[in-house]
Amino acid sequence: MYTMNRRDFIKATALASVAAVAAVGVDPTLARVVQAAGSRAEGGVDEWVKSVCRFCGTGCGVELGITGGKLVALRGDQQHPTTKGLVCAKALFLPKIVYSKDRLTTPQIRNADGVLEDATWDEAMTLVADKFAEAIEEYGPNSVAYYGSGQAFSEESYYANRLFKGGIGTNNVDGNPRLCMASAVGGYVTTYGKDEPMGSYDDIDHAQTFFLVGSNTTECHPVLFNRILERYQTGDRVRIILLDPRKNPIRKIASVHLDPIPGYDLPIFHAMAYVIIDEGLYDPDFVDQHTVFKKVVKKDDGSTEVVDVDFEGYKEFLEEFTPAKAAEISGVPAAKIKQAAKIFAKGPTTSFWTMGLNQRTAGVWANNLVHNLHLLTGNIGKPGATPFSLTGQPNACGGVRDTGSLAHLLPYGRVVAKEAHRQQMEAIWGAEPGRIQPKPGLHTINMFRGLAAGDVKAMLVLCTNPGQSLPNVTPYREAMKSEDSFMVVLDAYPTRTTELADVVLPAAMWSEKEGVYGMSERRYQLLPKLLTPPGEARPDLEILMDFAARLEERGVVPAGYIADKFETPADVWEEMMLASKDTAYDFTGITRDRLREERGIRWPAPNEDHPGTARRYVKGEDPLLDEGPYADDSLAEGDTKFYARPDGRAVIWLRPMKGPAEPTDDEYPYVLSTGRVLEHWHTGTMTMKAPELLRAQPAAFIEINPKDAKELGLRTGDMVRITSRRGEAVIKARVIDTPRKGMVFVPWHWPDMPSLINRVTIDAFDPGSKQPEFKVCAVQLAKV
Amino acid sequence: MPIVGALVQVDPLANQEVQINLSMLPDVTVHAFDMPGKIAMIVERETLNQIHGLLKDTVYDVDGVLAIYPVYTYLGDDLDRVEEIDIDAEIAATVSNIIENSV
Ligand code: SF4
Repeated sequence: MYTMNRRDFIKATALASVAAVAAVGVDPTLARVVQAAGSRAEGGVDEWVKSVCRFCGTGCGVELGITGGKLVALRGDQQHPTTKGLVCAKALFLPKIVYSKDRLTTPQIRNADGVLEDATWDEAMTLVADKFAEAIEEYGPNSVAYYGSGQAFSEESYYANRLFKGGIGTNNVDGNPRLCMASAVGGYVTTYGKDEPMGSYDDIDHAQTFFLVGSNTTECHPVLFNRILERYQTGDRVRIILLDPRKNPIRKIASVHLDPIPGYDLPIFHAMAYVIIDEGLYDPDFVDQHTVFKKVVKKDDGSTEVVDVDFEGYKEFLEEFTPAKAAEISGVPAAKIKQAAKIFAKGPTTSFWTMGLNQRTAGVWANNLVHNLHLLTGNIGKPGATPFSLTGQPNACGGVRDTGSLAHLLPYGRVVAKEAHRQQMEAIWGAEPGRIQPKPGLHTINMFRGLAAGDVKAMLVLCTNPGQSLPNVTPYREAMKSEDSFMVVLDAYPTRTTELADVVLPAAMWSEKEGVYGMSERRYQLLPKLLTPPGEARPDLEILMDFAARLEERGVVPAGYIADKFETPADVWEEMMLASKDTAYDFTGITRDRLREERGIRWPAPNEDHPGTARRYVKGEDPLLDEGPYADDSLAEGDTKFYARPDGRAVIWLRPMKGPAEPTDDEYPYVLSTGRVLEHWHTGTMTMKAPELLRAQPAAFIEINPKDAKELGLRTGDMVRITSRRGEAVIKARVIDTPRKGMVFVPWHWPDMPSLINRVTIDAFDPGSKQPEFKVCAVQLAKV
Repeated sequence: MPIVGALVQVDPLANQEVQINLSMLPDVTVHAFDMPGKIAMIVERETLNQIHGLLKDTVYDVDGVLAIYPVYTYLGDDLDRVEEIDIDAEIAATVSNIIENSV
């Protein structure tokens, strides 16, 4: 027996962890040390438990070291099949975020003087239930609303959706994924018939070309970027096409960088299609067997209809978008567009995109046009070939999109507008026939406009911060604050929204409660409850159950509809599995037990033996082509069928040019685009609790191109007033050539009023997806 | 005293140079792998704040560093505890040497 310093063992363990993640061997002597130290090296940690990072849609697996009920260590989960032990700088602070001193611990009610004061749970919940019941009784079910989150657990979103749509009888259910993902949903649904990517992260390892659109993957999804980088470094002639008006760090390794004037990129996609057809680089067999061409035409009476077009008609349409013409509109040289088209067509090509494509008034169309390129070249349904929308939030996919917790949706690909879908959900939920309304409810912007107009009397906000994150936020903040509206907010921290609420309910977070997250690649993963919530904080699901029971007591939700049906998140999950049966999302095989054992499973997985699906719509890989309503025995192994569309074919859309809602002009000559930085996440509610992250990026900044800065007499460090038609912000200048001339970029995380950039952004939205155009608005700049 | 183990992804052509530059940083031990492009860094400092500052302000600025992944974080306050462990003397004697003088 020898005595050793524990410090050395921890360091040896840390080194061994890094070596394992790097998939390299360590010095043999060190390896023996680590082995000999064994569990002793981790002796201060009672147990390591698998979980998932709280932050982004990459969904990295983590292992949490728990000692005496406290989180004392964290490491990347090396057994995680897709993230393989890697985590980024944000995960480093998960332990500290949980133990932040300013966690909310007591329910609060705003008193007559406008001050939030502590209350008991019963006082707070009684008030909330009374206010909702009064509104429903006096003004009808559409006078109340639920605004949820891509950070809530799937069971929480499903339960709230069930309560509001089938219980209260209103479709006023929406959430913050409307601000980040709705156009991607619109793109998938209009092109393939159902939402969600068909490919998976596995495709990264097989791609020869990456098409990265409006996505700063290095900073926003660093662990995924690492996998792309690995492929780039180890693959043979792997190429990257970057389409982004900003010179983000990916540019260093991109073969071609297309940097359009923000909001004017649609012609680039069409011009790439033009080149692909013109040079014979498309896949005629795939186009012939698996696609149809469609466009929207205006009729004499002003209404619109969708009409079929043939391949020749599509070619004719593209004549308007030759590379030369696209160059004129987008500002990107024709030669670069041609180069990009040729690289794209070589494939296999994986496209990744995020907000740059989605947060636009032409967001759905822009999504369609990326899909067009994949369909034209047959770059879909094969290893390395897939169009893949990345998510910013950890559970926008599984929690909100899949559970149908948006104003027009019902769970698992159903929509409120279809009678059969309503009937199915009423049967599953045990709701009164006809309880679910056929008309979509209020989407995010209209929900807050409704609050301002007095149509929405009471709103429940769960795990999100609209007081900071809505575009053109000032009038909506006033509406939230108004004495005429009643707002209850469930959150773990004080935020720019809790400060406006009438009742604030302290919520448990992350490892303080159990639930499922569904990340970008359709993988559902369980996060176990390991820690005790601080003070009186309670899991959101428990709060919703309490709320539901009180609404049943008051008679505004039918007695017996929901309150007695579930006790735990696992109970809710049982019903969710059932609701997915025979849909394109079928996960009846993803049981709670499997989730506890396995590192997540990708749906569809229609039975317990199914390992999950890496590639949808492909015979031999997608189990839904073998059994159930979409089964097709006429297909051969490897055949593609887009079964979610009635004709089994995906749509290549002819979408006309459409610019931003607010182009620049002489009065407002600069384009403002908002985005993110590595250290922070969304409204900073969590990451700014970690002083380390706050210190690394302590204050907002505005990136200004040196040419513009020179004209304005600005230097780095100067304060700049950014003024739009809606409001202003004052932010420190960072003169740098990352944005193109004429464009400025501001990360939107910081909550302090002077730099709250959403006082400036525009709330115009895509007519299809209703997603606002955060990426483009016109502003003036002036040195302060 | 938190300890963080980070995988540093570097430009393979600059591997050697990055190793040397990183190994000169205070409170840092660097371990070279036999695969260029990947380096392990073990950092121990008073607070996570300081470790993060080092990673962000200094390591990212080293030419040739592409990315940093802090894959292991220990926050326990028991590092000075001395434990008995069942390993042979030869190994015990080399541990500190490897940890402290990896490069
Ligand atoms: S990439 Fe996203 S999920 Fe992974 S560790 Fe970073 S923040 Fe967490």
